[in-house]
Amino acid sequence: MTEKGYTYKAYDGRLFYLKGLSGRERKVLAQIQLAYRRRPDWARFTNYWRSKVRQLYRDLPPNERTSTLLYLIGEDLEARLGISQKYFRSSDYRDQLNLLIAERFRSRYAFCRATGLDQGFLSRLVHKSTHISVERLNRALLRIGWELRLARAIKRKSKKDAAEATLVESQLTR
Amino acid sequence: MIEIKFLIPTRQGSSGRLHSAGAIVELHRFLEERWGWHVFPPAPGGWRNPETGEVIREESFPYFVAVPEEEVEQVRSFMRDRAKVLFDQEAIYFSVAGKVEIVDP
Repeated sequence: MTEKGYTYKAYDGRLFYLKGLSGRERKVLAQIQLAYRRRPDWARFTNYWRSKVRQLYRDLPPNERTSTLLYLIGEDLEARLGISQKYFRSSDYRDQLNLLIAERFRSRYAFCRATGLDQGFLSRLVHKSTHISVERLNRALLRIGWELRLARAIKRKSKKDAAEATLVESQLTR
Repeated sequence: MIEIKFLIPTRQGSSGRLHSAGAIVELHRFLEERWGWHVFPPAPGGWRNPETGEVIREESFPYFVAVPEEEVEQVRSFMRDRAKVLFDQEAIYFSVAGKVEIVDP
């Protein structure tokens, strides 16, 4: 169970617990959220929140800074804004498939040989000009030791603007 | 410190789809964990395909990164090794201290 008002639900469904944030962190998070609500251009917001977080954690090594709650929330808001302003799109299974191929196989050809999928079909699939059935994709993935899993859907209040989806859950002042 | 500039087209090379948010998150995380950087809103531009002579018009995000000289290769390698996967590009405009190179993944 989560305590309402002390959690932040990210675009990809991750839940962040905010109770441990210090006063300074809460203040900076409130500034970042305020800036976000004003709907600035994505690039402007990206530079803004990052400078705030860099300043706040200036004593932390950069690779530790990117593990902080504020960084993760800023990153999430940045992605939401980019999607709502149509600079990017939400990731889908095709992106996951592409990454799987790139990270674990020498080429698409090697992936196709291992999974039994036709190379031309795979090309059309990742370029979104064809579809694949759940059974066929799962069968192909099982051949390389992977499988499809279900994940809980991320609720969106408005199809028009995914960015507004869960901000209400992240109010810091009670 | 050396200034690196590179351009990330707003759309994937072969499909013309927008990039996924996940690809941008990975690029930004890579930069953020190492150096100071800045991104600007997409700007229009173009390039000539050397094989066909066709001029391709596209919008790109301009990135500016400040890196120590000995770390320039890290950025170049990331562009070369990951850009094809993340952004589906044949080549990326990449400039180091004003000297333009085209990084071919």
